[in-house]
Amino acid sequence: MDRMRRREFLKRAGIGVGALAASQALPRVFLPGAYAQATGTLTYGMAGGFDTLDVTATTFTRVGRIALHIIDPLVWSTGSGQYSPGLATSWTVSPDATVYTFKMRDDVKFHDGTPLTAEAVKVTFDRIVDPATRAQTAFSFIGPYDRSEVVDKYTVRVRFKSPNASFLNGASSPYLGIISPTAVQKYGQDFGRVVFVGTGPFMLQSYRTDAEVRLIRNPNYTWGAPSFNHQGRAYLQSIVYRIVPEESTRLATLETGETLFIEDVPVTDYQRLKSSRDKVLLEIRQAGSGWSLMMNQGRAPTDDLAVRRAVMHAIDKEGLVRTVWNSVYKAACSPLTPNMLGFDATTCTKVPYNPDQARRLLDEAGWRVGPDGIRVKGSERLRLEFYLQTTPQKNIEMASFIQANAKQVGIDVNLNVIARAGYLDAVRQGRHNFQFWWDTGTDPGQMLRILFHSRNAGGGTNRNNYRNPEMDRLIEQIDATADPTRRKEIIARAQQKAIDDAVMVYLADPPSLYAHDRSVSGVWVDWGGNYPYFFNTRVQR
Amino acid sequence: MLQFVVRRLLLAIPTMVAASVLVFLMLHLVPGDPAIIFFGDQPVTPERLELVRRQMGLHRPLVVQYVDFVRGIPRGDLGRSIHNRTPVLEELRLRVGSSAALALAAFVVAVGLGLSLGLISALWRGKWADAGAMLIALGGVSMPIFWLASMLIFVFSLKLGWFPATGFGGWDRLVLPAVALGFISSATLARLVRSSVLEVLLQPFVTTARSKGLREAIVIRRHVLKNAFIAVITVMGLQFGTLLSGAVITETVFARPGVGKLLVDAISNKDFPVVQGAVLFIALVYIIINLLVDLSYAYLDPRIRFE
Repeated sequence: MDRMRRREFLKRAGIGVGALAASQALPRVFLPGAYAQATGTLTYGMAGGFDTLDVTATTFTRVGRIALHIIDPLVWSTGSGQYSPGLATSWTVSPDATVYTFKMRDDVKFHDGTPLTAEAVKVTFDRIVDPATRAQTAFSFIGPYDRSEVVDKYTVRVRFKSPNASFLNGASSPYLGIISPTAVQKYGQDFGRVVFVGTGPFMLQSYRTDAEVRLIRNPNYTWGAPSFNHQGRAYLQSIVYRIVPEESTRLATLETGETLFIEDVPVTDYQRLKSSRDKVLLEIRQAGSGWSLMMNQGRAPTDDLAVRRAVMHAIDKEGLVRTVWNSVYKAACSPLTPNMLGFDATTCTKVPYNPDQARRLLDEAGWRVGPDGIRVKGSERLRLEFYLQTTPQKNIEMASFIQANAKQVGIDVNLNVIARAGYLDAVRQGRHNFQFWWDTGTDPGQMLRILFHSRNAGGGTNRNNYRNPEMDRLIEQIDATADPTRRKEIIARAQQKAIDDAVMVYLADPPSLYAHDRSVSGVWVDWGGNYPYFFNTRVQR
Repeated sequence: MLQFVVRRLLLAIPTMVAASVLVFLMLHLVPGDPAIIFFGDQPVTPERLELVRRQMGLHRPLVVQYVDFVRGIPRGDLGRSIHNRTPVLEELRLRVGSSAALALAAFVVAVGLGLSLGLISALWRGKWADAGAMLIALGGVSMPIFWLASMLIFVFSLKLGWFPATGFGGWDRLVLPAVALGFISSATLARLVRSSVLEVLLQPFVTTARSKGLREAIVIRRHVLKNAFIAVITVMGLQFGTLLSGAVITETVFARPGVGKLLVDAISNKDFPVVQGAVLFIALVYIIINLLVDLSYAYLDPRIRFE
């Protein structure tokens, strides 16, 4: 009897669970679009997590992408070296580029109700240089900041210790976006972790670490920048940034409608998306410094100019972009990408792929081919240590390609693929001959300083350990020259010098690849390709 | 019984101390300066690097750093991440729910599938059912979870549209990751159940039970399964711990936050407080699971008593 009842119970329970499962699953079977978005919400598939939402303190470009909607920059960058009003309606720059005076809008309020005044600009900028903030990206954008002076309620003067001709570029980045002084004071260490308050068209609704960031429309927003031709509120009700690190999954979410917009589209899906009828591929040439190879001059044998020149001639860049990047990336010419102010197109013909020339250079420098095909000079073998991180996988593919190219001219390249901690340790200490570099940014002076200034050698970002007084002088002149024509000339000279001194090998210039559903319209992306902005965006049902 | 539980819980303290000391020392022995990792490829002056190193508290002797960490534990203070300065307890709290939901769901899949396959294969030993069940188990053991997870997304999300591909919250978002993770774990369990059941089937008390005229179903349930489960339940317990803390790939593919991912990221950033906090949490989970497993022995085998 007891057994019978139990069996009956299990049978009924089974039917119940089955019915429940079916009732939940059936709508998915018959309505495959059930997971699509409600009109007015844009769901964005983001390629990874980040440290903090505090745009002043972060080191992640992704945070800049989100924060650009929560803050407003002082100025907007509309092209290389071109700026239009943001929170600042007008500005003046002193002839020596050490003093900038901004006239602010007087009709702007932060999300917490605090009115925007010149004081807020001062608080934001002072906070960037405060060691307690541990600012990184913002710290390099603000450059040799000295102090801000409140001239009147809506006028602020920003002073620099040395000329900083690129400050408008920094001021146009999200990292120098103006934040609420009231909120900073109220929330202290929690600012950026649980709250983030700016003046932008969207407000932070919630943030779940490693999962998603939700923004909702700022109902009071009436101060859209003139360049967007849109003075009222944003069209979208909300934006949801979902973190989907795995690239094929991210693409799947776009296909299923779980996301409407994704970043970092894999090059393998480039062609498919480009010819897709219901998806749109956005391809913007990235500004900054493309993928390149740093050659450490502080360690033999890359301290030998002939070896570095030979490496430059030995690498088949066209073959590399075709093999590794499906020709979506383009062969690079210079430390700057072609869309940067002052890019010198003559650099593209200066170092052609020529293995014979590479062999000749090595022969002349006394590197003779040994019995195993690898060159030797006295007792020294031409072996180069290449340090790289375990991800992204494409790095390893590029490194293997370079290794094969180098072997053809008698150079033995040893790949050391290690985790981030060990890698940074090795390259900061200069144990490498080769390492990869890639950086995004819109200011050529800043890019060249990071790569070539002697102050960044010896453990910094100049892991070429290249120290040259003339190059230092050129970089400082770039930062001190406000006149664009003159600036371009100096930038071109710096590029020529970097190639003459065989400092690095420039490999591939990447595009920024985004994709969105065809129902999404009105996406704006900055000319540097880094910041998709959804103020003018609509989602059609 | 109560005495046994209390004694075991007290013994957990030295175990956790040993685990945290080991992890702390290992983290410091592995090369890599957390301040350098913090700056990564950003330009930084040596002065600024030193300043951040001090802010992270790395200038203090190792013993002081460790003692400071231990002192906070009774107050529920596991310190703050040296990278983003979020309290470690909060970092864990934000992820434990998602990890626990996935682990439980995957556990149900693993146990359900593992037991069924193992039993089928043992009871129909040498028949096609045995071969079929073990073939599935072999698939589970040898299939990379990354591939299985991607295939599940491709078929059930992309092609059929039955389940969302990613995320958390709602049972429908749990199905695919739980199946992926559970299927892989079920394979080990199935093989273990098979061998344990086969071993018990040969015992004299099974022959006695059958000779008493008991129905085969009762023999299997009362005599075979209960005895075979002693070994199986130990592995099941350990598997639950692994599902909770070691589902990094599943969490990454299905874009779910989780303790495993937190730990891996913290290790690569050398974020000492987060690693220590996460390891402490995982050690605690294993201790509790082992305790529950031990307690279940008494239920399965009345000869076992906790004196």
